Formats: sequence, C-alpha cells, structure tokens
Amino acid sequence: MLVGAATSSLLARRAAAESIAVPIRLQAELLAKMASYDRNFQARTGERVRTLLLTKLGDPESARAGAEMKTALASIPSIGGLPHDEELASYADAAALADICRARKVSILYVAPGFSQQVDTMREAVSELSLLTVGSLADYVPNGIVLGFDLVSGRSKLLVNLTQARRQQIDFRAEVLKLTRVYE
Amino acid sequence: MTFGRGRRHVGRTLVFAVHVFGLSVSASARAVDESGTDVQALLDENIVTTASKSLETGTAAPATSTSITAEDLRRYGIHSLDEAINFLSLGVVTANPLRDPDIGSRGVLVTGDHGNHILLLINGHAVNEPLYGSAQFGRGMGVPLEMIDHLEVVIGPGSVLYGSSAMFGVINVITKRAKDFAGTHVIAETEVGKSYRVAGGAGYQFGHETELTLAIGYYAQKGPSFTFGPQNFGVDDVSGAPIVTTYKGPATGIWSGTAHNSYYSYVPEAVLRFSSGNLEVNLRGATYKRSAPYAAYLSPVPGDFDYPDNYDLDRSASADIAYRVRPTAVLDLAARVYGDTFDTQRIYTVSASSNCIYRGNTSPCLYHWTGTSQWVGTELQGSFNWLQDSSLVTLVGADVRVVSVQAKQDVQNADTLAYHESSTNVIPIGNDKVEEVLGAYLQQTWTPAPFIALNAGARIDASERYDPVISPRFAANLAAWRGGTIKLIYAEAFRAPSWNEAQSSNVNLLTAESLRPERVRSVEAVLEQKLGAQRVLFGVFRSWWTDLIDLHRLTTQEYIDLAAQEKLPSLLSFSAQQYRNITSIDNFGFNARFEGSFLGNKAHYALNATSAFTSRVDDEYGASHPPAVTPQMFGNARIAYEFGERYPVIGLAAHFVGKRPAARTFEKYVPQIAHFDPYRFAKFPYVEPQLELRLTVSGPVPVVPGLSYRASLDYAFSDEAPYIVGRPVDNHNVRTSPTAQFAPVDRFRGTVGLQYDFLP
Repeated sequence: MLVGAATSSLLARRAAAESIAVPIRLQAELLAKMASYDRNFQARTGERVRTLLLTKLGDPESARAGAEMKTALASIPSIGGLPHDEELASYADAAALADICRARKVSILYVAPGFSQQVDTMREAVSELSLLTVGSLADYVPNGIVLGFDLVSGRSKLLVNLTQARRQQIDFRAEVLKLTRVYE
Repeated sequence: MTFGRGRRHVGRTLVFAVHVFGLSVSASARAVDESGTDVQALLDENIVTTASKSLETGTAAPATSTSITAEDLRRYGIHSLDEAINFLSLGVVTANPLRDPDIGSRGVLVTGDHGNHILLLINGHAVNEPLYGSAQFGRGMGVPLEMIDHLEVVIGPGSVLYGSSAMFGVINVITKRAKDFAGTHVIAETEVGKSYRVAGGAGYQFGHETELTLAIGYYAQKGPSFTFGPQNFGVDDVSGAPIVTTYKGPATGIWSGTAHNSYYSYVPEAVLRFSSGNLEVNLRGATYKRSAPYAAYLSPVPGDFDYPDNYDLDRSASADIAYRVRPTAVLDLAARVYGDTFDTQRIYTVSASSNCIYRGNTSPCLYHWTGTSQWVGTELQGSFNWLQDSSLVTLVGADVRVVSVQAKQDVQNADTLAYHESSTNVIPIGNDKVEEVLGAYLQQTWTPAPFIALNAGARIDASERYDPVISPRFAANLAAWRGGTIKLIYAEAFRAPSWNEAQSSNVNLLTAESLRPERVRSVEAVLEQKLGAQRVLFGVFRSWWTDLIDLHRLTTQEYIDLAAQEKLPSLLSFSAQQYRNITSIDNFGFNARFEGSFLGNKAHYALNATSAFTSRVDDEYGASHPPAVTPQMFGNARIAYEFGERYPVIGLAAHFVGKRPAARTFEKYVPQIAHFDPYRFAKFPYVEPQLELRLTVSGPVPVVPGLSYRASLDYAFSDEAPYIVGRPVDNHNVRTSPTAQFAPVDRFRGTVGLQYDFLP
C-alpha cells in the first residue's frame, strides 16, 4: 500500500522546498512573544487580538500548518498581554485578503506554506494596513512578510523585514531586533 | 573488592548537582526580567528530528538529547566527532587508545567494540556496518567538519525507530543546506608539527527548489613520537630464545623504545547532498588508514615495534535517495533506498618465531585480515496526522535490508609475500553469504492537552541469524509549571551479534554457537527548567544490560567436553576463547546540564555532568566490578565571548573524566590453572582523573574580506590514558612487571587554520 501511495505521489505538486523548518508550536510561542515587543501592538489591536491564518486551498502542507498554528495559538493564554482569537481563511486574491483584514480588524496575519509566488502581491495589498504579517517560511521575509522563522544549525532564527515593518506600522524594540536577522 | 566508594561518589555528586540546580534557578529567576531574554530563550531551544523522526523541540522530544551547532564546533576549536562529544555533549564520553576512540554513555563503555553499541547516522543514514557493527567517531568519520550543520546526540536506548546498535543512543550528523553553506569555501588547518587538513566545499541553490552542497577533505597525521618503557615478553616457544620484538631485530624479549614511525592516520573524505523538490540524495565516501604505536588489546605476541607498515585501512561509501510527499493534510509518505559498501584490512607484521610457525621460513610473517560488507535496503514510512494539528500522529515504517559479508585471514612471508597456507577464519561459514534483515516500527504520539504529550512505540527486527527482537519505548512529557518540563521514559534497545562475533575462528578462537542479541532496558526521569535565557536539565536513570557478548576463555572441562563430542578443532590453543552472551551490567546515575547566555547574548556557557554507579558481572571476573575504561563521573564546561561581528570570538572549553580502571584490568589470563593468581595485575590499575582544557580564538581576518582564522591550544593535565601497553605477564604466564604501563596522552596541542569563503 505504501509503495503504491509513494509511487502515485510522484505526481504530487507540493515541493519540499516549502516545508516548515521550525516547529509550529515554537513559531506560535515566538509570534506571541514578538508581538509584545511591538510598540504599536496594543494601539493597533484594541482589546482583543485577531489573528487570521491564511492557507492555500488544495495545498495539504498549507492546510496542516494553518490547523496546527490555530491549535498552538489557542493554547497560549495571551498574545502581547491580550486575549486572542484565531480564524482560518483560504486565499482568494490580494485585494480580498486586504478587505478581510480590514473588515475583521485583523492585527496578525499568519501566512502558511504555499504562497511563495503570491508574497509580492500580498505585500502590496497589505502595505497600507497596520498589520503584523508572519510567514511560516523563511523565504517569505525577503519578499515582504514582516516576521519569519528559519532554522540555522539546529536552532530557530527570527527574520524581520524592517522596511516592510515600517510600512505596516510595526515598531519592534531594539532589544529583540538585535536577536533577529534584519532585511531592509 | 567492594565498590561502596562508588555509591558514595554518586551521592556526593548528586548533592553537588542539586546545589548547582538550585543556584542556577535562582540566578535564572533574576535574569528573566531582562528585556528580550524570553525571546532568546525560545531561540535557544534545540530543534531536533532524531528522537522521534519528526521535527520538534529538544524539550518535547521523547529522549534526552544534545544539539551541537556548527557555531559551537568553531567557537571551541573542535576538529572531530569525538572531540565534540567530549567537550560539548551530555552523557556521552570517548576514550582514545591512539587508534579508534572507544565511545560510551551514562557510565557504560565497552572497550574495543568498534563503536557498535551506539548508532551513527549521517543525515539519517545508518553508518554502522555489519561485519563488526563498527562506526568511526574520530577523524575517520568521513565528513569534513565545515560541512556539519549540527550534531544531535540522543542518549539512552534508541532501537524503537532505528533497530540494532542504538544501545547507548543515536548520534545524527546533519550536514548543511545550501543556504547555510553558500558559495565556495577553502580550508587549511594544521596541528603544528603533527597533522594538517585541507578541505573545500560549496553550496549552491538553483532556482527555488533545487540545491547542492558538497565538501571534500584530506587529513594527514604523523606523530607525535611516544616513548614506551620495557615490556618483557619472555622466551619464544619455538626458537627457545627471547622473543624478537622488532622487524628482523635481535632476540631481546623486550618491547620498548621511542616510536617515531607507527602513529599516523590519513583520511580522504567527501560528502554530497542534493535536493530538488521532494527528492533528496546523499552520497558519502571515505578511507581511513591508521597505525597505532602499541596494541590496545592483548596479543600473545606483539607486532614488531615501531614498524610503519602495520596498519588498519577502512574504506566506505554510501548512497541514500529519499523522496517525501504529503498527498493530503493527514498523510505524509517517505520512501528511501540506500546502499553501502565497506571494506577493511588489517596488516600486521611479526618477527617472533612463535607467531610464524612455517617450516623452513625464517622471515617475518605478514598477517593480513580482510573483510568486506555491502548492504542495500529500502525504508518506507507513513505518518498519519489524524487531526491535522500534530496532536495525534501515527508513524508506521518498514526497513528491509539485504546484507552480504565476507572476511578472511591470510599469512604471508613478509619478504616475498608468498602465502604460507590457505585462507583461514573465513566468513561466512558455509554457503549462506546473504542475510535479510527486516525492521518494522510503529509510533503513536498523542497530545491530549497542551501540557501533556505521550509517545509510545515499538520496533520489531528479524533476521535468520537471531530470533525476532522487539524494542519498545514509552515516554510522557509533562509541562508541569511555567518553563518546567518533566519527562518520564522507558526504552529498550538491542544489538545484533556482528558477523565477526558470530562466525570468526582461529587457533585462539572457537566459533561461537547460537549468539543472542544483546539487550538493554532503561528508565529515566528528566526535569528541564527554562528561566530567561538560562536552562537547566537534571535527569536520573537506571539501566539493565543483559546478554552482552564477550570472550569466554575455555575451561579445562570444556576442552574435555568438546573432545568427547568430537567438536574440538584440530588446531586450538590451550588458552582459546569463544564469543558468548556472558556479561551483564546494572547501572544508575544522573545527568545534569546548565546552559545559557548573558551579557546581551554575547557570552555563552554550558556545563554538562554525568555521574553513574555501574556494576558489571562477567565471565572472567565473576563478581560485580566497575567496567574498564568507563569513567563513572565525567563532563565538560565551556564559555565563549563574542566581541562583535568583525572581532574575535574567544572560547574556553574543559573536559573532565574521573578516575577509572584501565582496559583489561579485570581479565584473567589462566583461569583453568587453579594455583596461579589469575589476574594479570598484582594491583588493579586505575588511571587518575583527566582534565583537558582548550582555548580557541576565531574570527575574520581584518582587511581581507572572506578570510577567517581559527587557532586553539589544548592541554591535558594527565599523561595517562586508560589502556595498557604491552603485558605484565610474559609468554609463559610469569608476571614480569608488578605494575601496568598506561598508554600515553598527547598532552599539548596547538592548531591554526584559515578559511576563505568565495561568497556568491
């Protein structure tokens, strides 16, 4: 059975290059911590943190990462000291994404795997929003996602796109920026 | 002899460890208020894949593990895997007989086992070969150091997912991805006056999904020279004169002098890692030629002293092709095919007449052992993430392997290379040249609540050479309080008898009969506490080892019984031995680790300590005794400071091992003769504690972009290694020396190296 399944999967389109490198549970904890080091976080968020978990329709890797992040975030008591809700959403297009973020007052957008080709347009769509975008993959950050995670020598590494962070009114404190790899 | 002192030492060190734990928690509590330390603490979490074949943090893994980063290897002047283990890991230790390092864990080490009680993986590919079960943990490992991304050292029984040999644990060498090895790199390094190493490597990405990393290296070492005191080997049984101990030399019976030519090693090595989409290919090849100035394990007659053409040569190559896919959000599939080839030679020239009994010949004899093994296999694995959030995951896999082994011994005239006789010690016995090995495993993980994770699994291994073996593991991980985790682990592991143990024979060795796999069971409780950027681990363990394979010296009654059953070979000496399942070990102890960073993450430190009380019962000594070579207390400490990106990093590392008995301490030499004092030593030889310090400076060379340096100084305080040189009794079992001479230690070493990076 396994042989057959493995053979048929040769036709699968998912690429290992978009696999998660840092465990989702750890990504969730880092996300929650990093949010509290954003000087504008509470002003932007209000009384409750709303996180949108963006997945790609028909992409198993993406679907699983979104589901796992939802469970992981739900187990964390607070994000940036505030209560929080998480919601899964499938990506349609960049404009619709921006509309959803505005309408639902999303303060954190987590981008699951599968969007390497869409990150550029996504960046343009949310640039005018006060929003922390978080990428599940390291490759997203140089292309415009504000915060991401990489694995270097068996340890996780935080990546920050500072230019994009400024555009989206994210103001990380220097204490944590020195722990990150910064892209400008 | 009693070992009460050992129990007291465990108690004292336990009190010390608890004290350190208390101090560290207190210090950490103060550190938690520093800004950014909570993020730093998360970034310092090790990410591991070895313990459960899945991506997880070290804290969540169902085993105690150490992750050693490439940065650590560079900061602390590490040159080989055994150095990394000694200076940087928890619970594992090596000992150096100047040939291949012995490796042990948690107070247990089996001398001369070729590393076959610990499983070595390179990118998940098992390296231990079937003839001896051997793997190289020193310079002969076969991976250029600069290519290593990190090392995962998992301690405790690990057969649940990996099968044979994972008794001490599993070491996984993970090589770099292209993004972390980008460009082309050239390295030259020398241990001044003793060795040099050159290496080159490259890492390139082709588009978004394809990448290639490769590295080649060459290491050459000669010396230092060591001086050995006189070892009296007595009178030659054949010539009646004193034994000749040098190549065509005088008959003095004395083995001694300064060895200038017989301590060397040469290691060409190459690794390649290629991935494209879901496909990953790993290739590796290495040869390892080495010579030691003395024999660490007893030979009745010594090889010729300082003879440069006595050497061992191993050659190995492997290929591993893996394909992974996630067809649905629930299911992951992985298929892997692999193949390995290994061959070994041991060349050994002896001028003593009693080891060269061939009528009419006066030339020295050249003993030539050769062995080859090849194996190919496939592993299929499915992972079912039932709820898609990793809270309930079933891992199922099967590994089918076909193994072929051949070995033989020849004796030649050392001058003419003419063969004296037909090959002996031929493996395999009979026509069955191929072994089929099947392993199947199942692992279930369940996280019923965020604060508790359960892991249960078992693997069955079957082969025609032994009865099926089941290796279970149960682990519970409880996030007991803020930053605190408690792990409870029960695990079993086994080691299949090597082909050499099962089938070898010679004039001093009777072929084994019905060897069973060695077994170990272990229970472990571990507490991990994170507070700010500091982390503390404290774990206690107990393990039971049974059916360990060792050499049994035949008794007079056994000779009589063999003769009566007409099973006595025509050529068998009266001190012959036979591999049997005769040894058991019972041990308990603790592991402790305290690590973290301070001064704004510029200073990094770690302290690892292990203490154990180990009781070994074997055929030779009878009553329980500590295992030879194995320190019952050992550990390491390190601290490094980074002055800034363009400035040096200074690292100081220390490795400590406690007092321990030397190899062969508890062996008897004539158990069948009652009126002789059966032990080789009038007083059991214990080696004094050893402390080794290493200071390393590394950083970029100013003004020359891309060029970096590393320099280290290493000093060992003791000049004794836990191995015996020569023999304290002569060829006629007459004790000639009241004390043992210990093997020497290369006490002072200095290394300098340069690396140039051609960045893309």
